[in-house]
Amino acid sequence: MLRTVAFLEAALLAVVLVVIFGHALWLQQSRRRGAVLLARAHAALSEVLQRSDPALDAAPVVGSLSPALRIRLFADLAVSLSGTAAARLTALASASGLTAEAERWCRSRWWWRRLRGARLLTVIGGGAGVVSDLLDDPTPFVRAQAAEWAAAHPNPEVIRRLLDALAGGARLFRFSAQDALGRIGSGAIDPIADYLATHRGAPVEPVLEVAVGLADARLLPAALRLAGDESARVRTLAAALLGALGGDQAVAALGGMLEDRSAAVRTGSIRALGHLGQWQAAPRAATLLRDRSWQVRKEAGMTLRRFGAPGTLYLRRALADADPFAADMAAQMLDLPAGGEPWSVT
Amino acid sequence: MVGDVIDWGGLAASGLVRLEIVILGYFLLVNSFYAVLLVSAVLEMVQHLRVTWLEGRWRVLNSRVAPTITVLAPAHDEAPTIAASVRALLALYYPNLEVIIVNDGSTDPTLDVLRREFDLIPVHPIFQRRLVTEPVRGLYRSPSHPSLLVVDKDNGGKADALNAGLNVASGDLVCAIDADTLVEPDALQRMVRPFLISGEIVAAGGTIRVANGCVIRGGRVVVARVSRRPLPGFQAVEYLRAFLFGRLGWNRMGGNLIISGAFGLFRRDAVIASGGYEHGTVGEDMELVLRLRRRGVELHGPSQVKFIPDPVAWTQVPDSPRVLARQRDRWHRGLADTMWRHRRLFFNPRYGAMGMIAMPYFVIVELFAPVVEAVGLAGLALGLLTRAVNLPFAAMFFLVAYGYGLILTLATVLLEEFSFHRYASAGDHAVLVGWALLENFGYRQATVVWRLRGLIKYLRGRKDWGAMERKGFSP
Repeated sequence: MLRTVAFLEAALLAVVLVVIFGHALWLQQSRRRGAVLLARAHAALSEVLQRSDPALDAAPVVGSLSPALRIRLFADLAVSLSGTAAARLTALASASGLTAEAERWCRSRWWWRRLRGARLLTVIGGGAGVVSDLLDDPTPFVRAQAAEWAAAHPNPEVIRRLLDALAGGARLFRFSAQDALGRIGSGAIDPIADYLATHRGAPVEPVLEVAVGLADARLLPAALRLAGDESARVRTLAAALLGALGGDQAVAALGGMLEDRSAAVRTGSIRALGHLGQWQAAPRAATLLRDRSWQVRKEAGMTLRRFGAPGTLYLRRALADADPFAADMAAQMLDLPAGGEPWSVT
Repeated sequence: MVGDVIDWGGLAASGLVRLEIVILGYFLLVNSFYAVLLVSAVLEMVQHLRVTWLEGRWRVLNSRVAPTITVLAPAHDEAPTIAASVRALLALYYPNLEVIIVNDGSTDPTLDVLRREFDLIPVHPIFQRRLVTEPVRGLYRSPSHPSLLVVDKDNGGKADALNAGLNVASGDLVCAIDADTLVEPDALQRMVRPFLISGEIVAAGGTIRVANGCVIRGGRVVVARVSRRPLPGFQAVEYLRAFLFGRLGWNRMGGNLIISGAFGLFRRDAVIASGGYEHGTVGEDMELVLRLRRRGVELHGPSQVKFIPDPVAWTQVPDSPRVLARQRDRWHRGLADTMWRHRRLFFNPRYGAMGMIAMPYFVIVELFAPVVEAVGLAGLALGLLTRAVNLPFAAMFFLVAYGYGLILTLATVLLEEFSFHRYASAGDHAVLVGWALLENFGYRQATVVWRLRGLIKYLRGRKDWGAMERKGFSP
């Protein structure tokens, strides 16, 4: 028994040690060799990319590399290219067979192969026929990658699918889809405005978050409509969007939202008015210094400070307010250390 | 009756042998559980490598919808290291990053260094004290580094400092780190991954590696090396084992109970709602994780804790036996205290795998291992002296307790080799393997003594931290 255990352990130990050192030495050698090949291919491919017909000269450069090095070469170059050069790199990848390989991976039955395919096509470009289908993939990782790919390949159909999937999608996919819509930018405004005009409640929350970042005037009608939504979270986001858009209609709507039943909405509205520099709202902000919610009182105080002289006047008046909470917040806002600036947690 | 004289010596010898057999069985079970953890870690690693292959992390870097992160770094008497540490934190690649340094009543010039290096100016603090802390003396911002906020407060310990930081933090997520820890620039982009993937995640932890022996420039580890000095070398092996197969393996087996205090990412709302860091314990990081998970289960909120192997933070480990002994003693007291506070979870099916697997493991294996090992070794020595135990049994004991463990440790080195391969030279591999072999002769036994001391101190009610000495990183 003892001998068997000892032999078994010694054999395992020897195998593990041989594998550790063997792999370390092999990796050291292959990295050294790969670095030389890669540098040579990198220089040659960079030169080829500057010519008028790059595809003709690509094969000998790329063909001498192993598949892993080929992917690394294209991935290294792709991150620093845009416009015509990026399009040429995509053409080179296609000519070298890399695109076809990635598309084959996209159709694999294994989720990690599909992820590889979508990821490679996101990096090198191409794959219009296959990656958009992966927006409905059962694996969230693959769907999220397809959404990332969609940011660089926008079309009305892809944008519609991203918007539809946002409401019920897995968290990772939601992040990727929101991010993709934000990157698509102005091209996504009209579909977003249409979506916001026809939906309400929880499904519009992730779309509104994107809309706040885009802040396009075409979104105003939807923002005004959603300012009266039943969901407090939606009204808060609508207030943020109105604050980002500005204009008479937005200011009027924000004024109305200062009396909202939700503290988060009142906070968001007064903050938005502060960002818009609507000093005419100072009397309303001063009233909010008596609010039951600390967040609202704090935001009202910060907004009054932001308004400058008119706001400071109201803060000084509030020092003598019958409501001790209003007086305390005003005192905090005015009681600055020498050279200090007001600062608060948002 | 004369013929019925009791053979006390024989009874004692027989008892000793039985005890040794039980302890041998214990080691066999524990090491076999480790082997299961290792398999789990390998599966996790395969999944991790598949998911991160050619991953475009730059997307998070310039995304409008990426969650905001506040880095919280408590600092107490860290004057030699603070400037380099803060510069490294400010240079982290993450959008909407807020860095909060909490000067926890330092008696050395930590605050002066910060003021001088970052041109700090006082700001008027308006924040809600949702967590009770020692008084805050002042808050400072830097005109040259808008994302930096320094909180100066009375000394109250690490937990109190972190709570003060939580009160003023504004990020969706908070990353608690030690001020003397070097975080790799893209670590937060990697660490945020689980929060993007699932709404069930309440905390995530990254890997801590040993910085001793590495080449460090500008607050960054530029060449990863294994220390040639024994104590940091042994700890390099320990850290690799603890993080790469311990914590990674737990991802699939009920989830982690520990996120290292030196580098962890938490949901701010969950931490504040659960009352922040606990003052009255020296194991505040483990206690918080357990409380967050427990609360998540009880209130049906997010309760999962994920370990991610690729975000890396480097830390200087103690290179003197005295300081290391104090650290291990404190860690073990922290473990004991946390297990006692949350004893209701022990074998409680309501808490799922956390109650039925993780908690029993931490009590039976982690907490009582030094007791069992000490008794086992002492019993073996006594048995050999009195000839109650023969040499083949002793050899079997060592093969099961140490040989099996050594193979698992080397398998971890292998996992590292096939996954991240952070130590590029074959020489460093040789040194690492050497320390893995040598740790069984003296070092492991010393840690048993230190942990036992911690357990005894805990039973006596000691709750102090013990002084740590900061050496600082070479520029």
